[in-house]
Amino acid sequence: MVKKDKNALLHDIQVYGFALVETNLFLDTHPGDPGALACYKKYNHLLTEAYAAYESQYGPLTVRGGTDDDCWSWVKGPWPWEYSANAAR
Amino acid sequence: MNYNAENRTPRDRVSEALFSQIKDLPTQRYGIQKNTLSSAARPAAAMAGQSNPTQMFCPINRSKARTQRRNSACGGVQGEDKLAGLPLAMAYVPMQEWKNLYDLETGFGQGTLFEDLDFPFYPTSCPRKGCR
Repeated sequence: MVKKDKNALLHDIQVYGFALVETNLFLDTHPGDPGALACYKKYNHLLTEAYAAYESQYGPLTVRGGTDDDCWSWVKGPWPWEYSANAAR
Repeated sequence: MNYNAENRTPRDRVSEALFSQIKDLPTQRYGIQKNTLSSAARPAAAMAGQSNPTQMFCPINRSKARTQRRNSACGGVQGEDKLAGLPLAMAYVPMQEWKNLYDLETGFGQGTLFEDLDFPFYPTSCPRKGCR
């Protein structure tokens, strides 16, 4: 997998997540729409891939993002408010 | 239930005279609509007759508003209500269609994936003082 910049991956996750929610809301009122259903599958796949790419390189985004076997990964990275540590990575 | 037969549709509650009076009102968008997209990307805006997207509309007739300013905190908006007499809170929302989607980056930036629902609102003050 090509290594992608951390912020670029975070951006992708935001964009795909947003598109997925938009599709979600549309489908709530149009549950049989084939175009929207196809896009739901596509965006869901892209978002899952972006999550996986980020978490494999930079650690879990949520507590469901997995952990190393020998150490609880969730506490390893810088906290979100540690700006310089995050910017440097 | 046949609402038409029972004279129950909102349209039926509006008298012919009032309907003919309001049906030809020009569609205007208040305030400034900033032209953030290329004209090619805004076919909906073009279709709605907004040939000049940066043109500013004001709901208030300025000279009239000046004379009414003393009587009203916001320049006599009440006197200009061309929709007066219509039933309150009768809204019509056609079903949205899965079309005119922005590409994902544009949609993310605009806050909606749907060009048909992209109505940026840029509040501008009325040209007159004291009218917001």
